[in-house]
Amino acid sequence: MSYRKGADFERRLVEYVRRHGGEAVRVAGSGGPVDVVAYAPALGHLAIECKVRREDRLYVRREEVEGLVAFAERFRAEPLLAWNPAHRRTGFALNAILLRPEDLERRERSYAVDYETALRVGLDPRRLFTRSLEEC
Amino acid sequence: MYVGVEGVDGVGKSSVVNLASELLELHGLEVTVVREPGTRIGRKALKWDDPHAQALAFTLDRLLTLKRVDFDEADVVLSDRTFLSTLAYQSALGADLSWLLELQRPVPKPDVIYVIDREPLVRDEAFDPEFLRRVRREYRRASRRAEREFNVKIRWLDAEGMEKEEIAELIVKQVLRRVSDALDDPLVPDDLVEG
Repeated sequence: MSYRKGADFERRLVEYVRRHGGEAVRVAGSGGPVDVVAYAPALGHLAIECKVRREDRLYVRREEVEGLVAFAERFRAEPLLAWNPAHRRTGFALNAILLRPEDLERRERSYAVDYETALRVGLDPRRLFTRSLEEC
Repeated sequence: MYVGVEGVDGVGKSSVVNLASELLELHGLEVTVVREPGTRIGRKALKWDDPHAQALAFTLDRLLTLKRVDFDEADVVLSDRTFLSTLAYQSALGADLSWLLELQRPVPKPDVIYVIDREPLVRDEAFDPEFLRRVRREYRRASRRAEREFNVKIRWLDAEGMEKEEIAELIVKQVLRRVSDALDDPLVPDDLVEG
């Protein structure tokens, strides 16, 4: 992921959250495990790591995912990976799929998920602002 | 008009904000008082020991707190703490000031911030006096950077030996002057005019 594409995606995510009644802060230049921290009405506090990938499979280094989970625990937030599969049209807001770490398969050095599985188990960013009927 | 009141723990910010709010209301102004941290995440973060996570939590808290404020409805929004607290406290705890400034970029900025500069009036065991001295120094450094970066006005009140009422009156006098300048309407009564 180029820095510019990643930063653009992070900015769009922050704007999206703010536009829909939540708040978000982009953690630029921290070198830390999260890109965005946010509050979204339907899900509460969130720690988000953003990924722009042009492949049908998302790989994330184990230390990145574990760093995100550790940070989220400290922040009392829900850890999420926001995947923008830029070569696909997901139909989700921002063309992004929100994944919980447990949605990814844990491997020796990475966590991974394929596009079809991600579409099935992941969340549309719209869900940050609306609850599903099952949750009500 | 958005006015911030700042200073290290124990200098009397909350009392000064309460008194100033009462005085401004006596002058017929609609006042909204804001206290930071104002949400659950911010209050929890007070107990954390990682200044980076704290800075993120306080920034998010600030954005959420200020989102609830109707700036058009109030004549004066008076805030007990502002973004300057995050700059001073979290940099005193080891976070990089440039990073903290960057984090505060999307946060609404007060028109003016008054920093109550004095030794704490009460000794809170939760705060090491040496740490508070460091925070006080960081307020100076952070103020200089914030004035440059965000073009915000920061007024230092040398408040050693002053009563809280005097500090509140001083702030009120200056706020009334600014509001009347903005409205082109003389709101400042004679008894509050200097000299």
